[in-house]
Parts: sequence; structure tokens; C-alpha cells
Amino acid sequence: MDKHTDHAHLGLWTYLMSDCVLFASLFAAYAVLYTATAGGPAPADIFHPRFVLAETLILLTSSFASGLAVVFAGRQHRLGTWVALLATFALGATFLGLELHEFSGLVAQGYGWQRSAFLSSFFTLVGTHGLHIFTGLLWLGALFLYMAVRGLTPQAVRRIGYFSLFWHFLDIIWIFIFTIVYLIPLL
Amino acid sequence: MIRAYTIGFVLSILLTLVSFLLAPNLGFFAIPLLVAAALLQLFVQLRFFLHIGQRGVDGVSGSYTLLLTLAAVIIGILVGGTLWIMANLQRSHMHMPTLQDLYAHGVMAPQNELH
Repeated sequence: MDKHTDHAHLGLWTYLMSDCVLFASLFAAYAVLYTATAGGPAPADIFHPRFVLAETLILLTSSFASGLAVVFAGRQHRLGTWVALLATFALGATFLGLELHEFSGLVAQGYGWQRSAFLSSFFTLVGTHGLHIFTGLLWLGALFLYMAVRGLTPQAVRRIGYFSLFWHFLDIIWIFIFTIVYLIPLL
Repeated sequence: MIRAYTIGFVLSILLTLVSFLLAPNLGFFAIPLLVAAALLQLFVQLRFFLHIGQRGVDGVSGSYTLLLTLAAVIIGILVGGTLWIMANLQRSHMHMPTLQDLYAHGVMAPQNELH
């Protein structure tokens, strides 16, 4: 690995860790506020555990697929890389679609972010994660363009590695959203 | 490499299902179980997806370990500190005497209050 790549890799890790701190503060806010329902709905009234389990498994599979893409790209296996990345994109987009479906359902019932401190912290935390997923999908779209034009160059292989790092990171954040936002308040 | 990702994937699914299926039936032990399963899945994914701690695989060197440790310390202080302070505030808020209590015990009288 040359010096430039090493710096880029370290820079990405630095960004990811600072993003962790951002999410940690949003998690802390949620943990403090999830009981502050202001007469509005409580977590048990609006969360559907099976729906969230489906979201979780879809995002996990997407993360796994991006890992496979790194392996295939490293072996210069063109078809495998494309299939794995397209699967990553499709599963990620499905996840985002499900999340938006949940959000729009809540807002339509009058349970938007302005309803209570609980809902404000919920939308901020889960919405920030969703925004990261959306950014990841844009990144992946740019990667598709790059690969279509230039092919599986060493640069493309490195970029797939960076993307996959970001994508795994978002799945790790989701483990904690699944546990702290959805499962613990339902006990 | 494919083997590592597959192991990580299967373990993550199992841990997710354990949290989902077992937690609601455990009563008092539910929260410790959920936290343990989430942390375990964090380590599974760091090890098998991000290859942390495996030298040579992804150019993982000392600086990444340092970054991870630094982030973990900041997160620990941030989250732990917030929960601690807010729990404390809530407790002292509950025990805070009302104005009526202060009048009744003669600590304070309405006519002596500063307005």
C-alpha cells in the first residue's frame, strides 16, 4: 500500500470514528428522552418489532454483499463484483424504502417529530442513519459510473474497499439502533 | 476471505435472532442480554467484516487501534456521563421540596420572599 492510499485509509477511519461520536450523542439523547412522550404515543404504541427485524436482516445482508464485492474485486472477478455491488445497492435501497414507509406512516398519524421529545429524538437518530444510507447509495451510484467507464482498475478496487468500510460501519450503527431504539423500550 | 465474511454474516444473524426472540421472555435479564448480544455482534463485525486485529489483511496498523480506542473513550464519557447526569437530575428533581413545604416548615415565609 503506497503512502497516499495509507493516508486516505487513515482519513476515512478518522471520519468514521468522528461519526461514531455524532451517533453516540444522538443515542444518549434518545436514551434520556424516550420516556418523555408528552401524552403522545410511547415506543410500544408505534414500533412493529417484526418490521424492524426485516429491516435489520436486509441491511445486514447488504453489508455482507458489500464484503463479497471487496473479495471479488480483489480477485479481478468482474461479474462477481458487479453482482455483489448491485445486490448491495438493491438491499440498501429496500432498507431505505422501508424506513421512509415507517416515517411517513408515523407522520400521517400525527406522530411526527414535533409531537414529543421522544419522537424528536427518534426521528433525529434514525433519520441521521437513514441520511447516511442515502449518501452511501449515491456513493455507490458514482462507483458504478466509474466502474462502467474505467473497468476494475486498481483505483476502483480501492474505492470499493473504502465504500465497503463505510457500509459495514452503518450496519454496526444499526445494531445499536435495533437494540436501543426498538428492542429495549419494548420490554 | 469469503469464509470470514460468511462466518461474520451467520453469527450476526444468530445474534440478531437471539436478541429478538429471547429478550421479551427474560424479564430482569432482558436488558443485560440485549446489551451483551449487541456488543458481541459489534465485535463479530469488527473482526470478520472490518478485519480489525488481523495484520496484513487490510493494512491495519497501530494508528487504527489508537483511533478506535480514542473513539471508544469519548463515546464512553459522552454516553455514560449523559446518562449519569440526567439520572441524577431526575432524582434530585423528585426530592426537591416545593414552596409549600418550605412555608410549612418555617424555612421561608411568603412575605420575606424576594420578588
